[in-house]
Amino acid sequence: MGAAPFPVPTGSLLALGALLFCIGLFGALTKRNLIIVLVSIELMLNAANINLVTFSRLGVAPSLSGQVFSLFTMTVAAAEIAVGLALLLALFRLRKTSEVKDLNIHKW
Amino acid sequence: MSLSFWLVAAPLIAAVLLLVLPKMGGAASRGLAIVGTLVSLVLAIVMWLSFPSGSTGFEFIGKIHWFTLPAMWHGTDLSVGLSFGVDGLSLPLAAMTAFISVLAMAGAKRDIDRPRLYYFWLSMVTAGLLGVFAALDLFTFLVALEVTLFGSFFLIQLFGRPGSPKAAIKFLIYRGFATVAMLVALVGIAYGLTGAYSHSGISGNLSFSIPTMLNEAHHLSSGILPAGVAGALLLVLLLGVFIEEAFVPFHTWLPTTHEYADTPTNMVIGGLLTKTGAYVLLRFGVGMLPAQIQHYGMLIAVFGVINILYGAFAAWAQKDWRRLIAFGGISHMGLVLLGIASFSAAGLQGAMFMIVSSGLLTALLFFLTGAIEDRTNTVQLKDLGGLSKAMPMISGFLLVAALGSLGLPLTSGFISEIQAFIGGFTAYPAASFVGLGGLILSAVYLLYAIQKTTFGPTAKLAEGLSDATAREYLPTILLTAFVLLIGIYPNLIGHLFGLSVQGLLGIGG
Amino acid sequence: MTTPLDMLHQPYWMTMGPMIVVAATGFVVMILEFIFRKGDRRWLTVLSMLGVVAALVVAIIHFNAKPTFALNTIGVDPFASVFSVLILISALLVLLFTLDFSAKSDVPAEHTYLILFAVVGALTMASSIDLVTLYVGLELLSVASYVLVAVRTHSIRSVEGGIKYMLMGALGSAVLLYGMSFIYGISGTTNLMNLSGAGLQMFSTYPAITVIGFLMMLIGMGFKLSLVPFHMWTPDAYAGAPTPITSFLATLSKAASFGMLLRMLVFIFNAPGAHLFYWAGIIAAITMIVGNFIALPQRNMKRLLAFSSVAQAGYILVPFAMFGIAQSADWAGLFDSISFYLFAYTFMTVGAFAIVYLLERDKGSLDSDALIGLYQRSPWLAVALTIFVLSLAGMPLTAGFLGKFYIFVDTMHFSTIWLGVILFATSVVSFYYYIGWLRKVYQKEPVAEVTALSASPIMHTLVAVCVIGTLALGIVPALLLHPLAGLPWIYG
Repeated sequence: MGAAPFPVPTGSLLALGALLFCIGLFGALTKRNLIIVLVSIELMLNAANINLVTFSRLGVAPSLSGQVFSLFTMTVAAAEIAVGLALLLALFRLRKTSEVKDLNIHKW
Repeated sequence: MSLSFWLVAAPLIAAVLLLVLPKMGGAASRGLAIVGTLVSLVLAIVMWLSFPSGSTGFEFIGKIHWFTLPAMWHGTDLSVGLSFGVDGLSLPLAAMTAFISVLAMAGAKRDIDRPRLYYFWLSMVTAGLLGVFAALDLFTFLVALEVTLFGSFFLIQLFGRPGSPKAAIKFLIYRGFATVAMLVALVGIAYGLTGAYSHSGISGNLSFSIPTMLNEAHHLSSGILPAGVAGALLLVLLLGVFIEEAFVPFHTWLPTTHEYADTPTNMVIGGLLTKTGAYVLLRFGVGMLPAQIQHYGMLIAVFGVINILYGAFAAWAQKDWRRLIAFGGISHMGLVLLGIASFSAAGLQGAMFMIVSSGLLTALLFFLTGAIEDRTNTVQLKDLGGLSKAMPMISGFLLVAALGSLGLPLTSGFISEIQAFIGGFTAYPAASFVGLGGLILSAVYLLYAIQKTTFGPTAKLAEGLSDATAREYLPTILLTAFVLLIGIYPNLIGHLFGLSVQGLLGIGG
Repeated sequence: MTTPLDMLHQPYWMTMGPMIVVAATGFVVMILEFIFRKGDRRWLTVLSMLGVVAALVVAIIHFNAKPTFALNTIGVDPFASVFSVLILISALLVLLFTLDFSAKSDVPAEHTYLILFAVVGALTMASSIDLVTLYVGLELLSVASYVLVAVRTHSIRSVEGGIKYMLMGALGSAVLLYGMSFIYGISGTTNLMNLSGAGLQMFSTYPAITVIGFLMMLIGMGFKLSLVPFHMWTPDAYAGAPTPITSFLATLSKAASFGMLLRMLVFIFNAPGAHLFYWAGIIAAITMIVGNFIALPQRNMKRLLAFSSVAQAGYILVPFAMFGIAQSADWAGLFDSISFYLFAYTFMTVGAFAIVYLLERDKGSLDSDALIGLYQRSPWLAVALTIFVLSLAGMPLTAGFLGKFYIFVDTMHFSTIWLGVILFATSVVSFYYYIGWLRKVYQKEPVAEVTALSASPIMHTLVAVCVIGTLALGIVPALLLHPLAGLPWIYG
């Protein structure tokens, strides 16, 4: 694979990934709107993608499989989000809401 | 197939038949259950009579290979089977089990709701108890223990007095924890004695066979099992036994259970089920961890004395006959602990006698108070009084049972107490001296209760009541006869106990 | 590992046979579904079952095959075969369940082929040796499951359960994926075979990243396996889903996820990450304790079974903790105890859900009071439920006891006895709620005349199969224990 054409330190890319992951996790756990929660989860998945792509270029043993992996991940994430939005739509039809707090039919 | 196998199988077969055969009425169900247990009783007597003299080991061994746990780290495949056999310790207990169960069935009231289910569970519990006493394989033992647990649970739950479900749950949870503690300790002991202990490099073939474990315990010097581990195992075992035996502070389930269960169930639970813990302590504690029993002897003795006294004091304070008998039983079993703690021939033998004596007497007391309750609809001391006029026979037998229970000479209680205390005094004189107070207290609470029940002014509800019926005479007379017989001629069971004490202390063999 | 891959000459049938059969059936059923929109469409479910049976036959034929891998990605080895058979058997039970369910309720028939696609995902999880395909398999299973839970779009319970499951599942996937990315980063490969060799070096160079990778993968799968504290979605999704789907989530999905977790952890972190497996033990302990205690006050039968399945997952996780301590020669015993318990768990759980479903339909309520008088009404079903419940509680002569006992003996050997003690102590706690059910089953119904609980022959068959499975594994466990223990589970 050879060296990187211009030196972006691996650390910064990983830090970006970690930051995205944390933002995503925070959003997924605290946000009230389901769409925002879905977006946050997407952020987390993208953080993993950034990691994978970084490692495939600048990792200990660079290889293509990281990029392949991230392609698969994107596709899968799209499918997951599609189902998520479909469920959201079904919820909205029934309850006219997309708030997390309204998911309260099941008693604890 | 050996006799000891059929000993356990007979009530089990009866139980299965009860479940399978259609359209069984009350009398037929009872008959079938009695026949099954009676076969066990006869087999026990046959084994008793033909027990090889001088044998300190297991006899009449029968094994059925069941399955093996695959060979992995434990050397060869761990064989798990149904394996039964009896020795001088378990044979009298097994015989007592069959005896009391037959009498409990025979003496049961005739108008039980759902008799088929009732006798099914009673037979199951009997089979489980026989299995516990006769098991020669740890797995068999644990399975049998669980059968007794669930069988008695359903007996309490389905056939108890109003409010029994709560008591049944309490019973189940307490004894469930006891079973877990014993399971952990016993598998640990098996592992320590026969398996590959830890990473020390010693590796053996793990075996669940109780004779193998005993053999290892006697012939291997203390090297294989580190003292700390063995001590921890004994403490876990003691925890299990203490809950199982309803020792203070784990005792609350027993009085509650007795309060809500019906008479035959009470006879089985009070007379037999609470004796399994003591058996476990003798078989696995004394038999397999003798050094640790001696090491923790003081602890066990003190616990024993606390129970003797607490049981007696608590019994004194009871207003309900059934709870009184329950606490009396706890007091008795405290004496068993004291005997075991002494780790002497007399003490151990006294403990064994006490198990049998307490079993017979507790069953008898429950049966008699049950008979009284059938007539008066109460066992509250304050409501009873003057029963001796209306029912002199029942009152008389009640008096005999109480005298036996407080250890009058010529009853089984006497021989048990004297031996246990002789053992106790040689090892722990101070503790035993305090424990003697329990003897006095037992006289106090039993005679107090007798006086309230049978003597004094005739209570209103005692008027016009009939005395014992034929159904009631049989268990009463037989149980009383054995209480007296053991008291007069202790060697009846003493020679068997003597052999097993020799085996346990490693004298003979 | 291998150089140029000849794409055309790979042992596809050998390695992916069951998957191909199930996927093909899935597509056929999907197309037929579009064609035949009207009338009784239960024959589609029967067709699906035939497909699963065919896949099962293929899996069994290939059971003793020499380990082979297609494209270095998907393979057949004893580990894959055992889990494939387990998955296909539970799929069969679930489909049988569905057959009755779809006849009696308004559930859209789409869910038949969704189940099949989920099974394909599960099979992929069981037999992949590459992180990429493992992840794809997991997502195939998960996405199909989200839809299946929410398949009754007019029912708010169903939709809400589905959304919760989807959110938590996606969160879990993200965490898992993030963990995987680190493992890839410090080893440069996603192939488990290569990773199992690279492990030692990887760990000594990047210990911190390895720990992060391990924990993230464990936590990510923990969401799918509903381990505490990642179990929040479980009761809602279980209660909201149609009951056959609930049993699907509880058995098939769980078995596949356990298989995947086991495969990943063992291959990646085998020798060098030994001490990491301890974390699995801690999570197992928390799961057993919380799962059992939280189940105590539950009155809703499906929610209770959900919490009980949380606790059961804790039991199954116990052997995971010992992979670090055990020598690789001893692993067969651990694989054995995990897979044996999973088999046992499948039968008893599906059986219990089947009877809960019958009661739910009969009484229209999931409150456990619906159990009252069951013995009077239908003695056979009452006895069957008793067997399932006793097995879940771990009573002797049932599969549940033996599974627990075997795990316990393992903990004894590998000096993790504390886990064994927690296992049995928490099962005593579970007696309380299981026995609470039995109490009601044998309680008498207050009303004078009782009607038998209506159950179709299909449900009777299902219950009978589960009873036979539960009892057979409890009474003659050697049937399964020995073949499993004799397997050379993995070739690493």
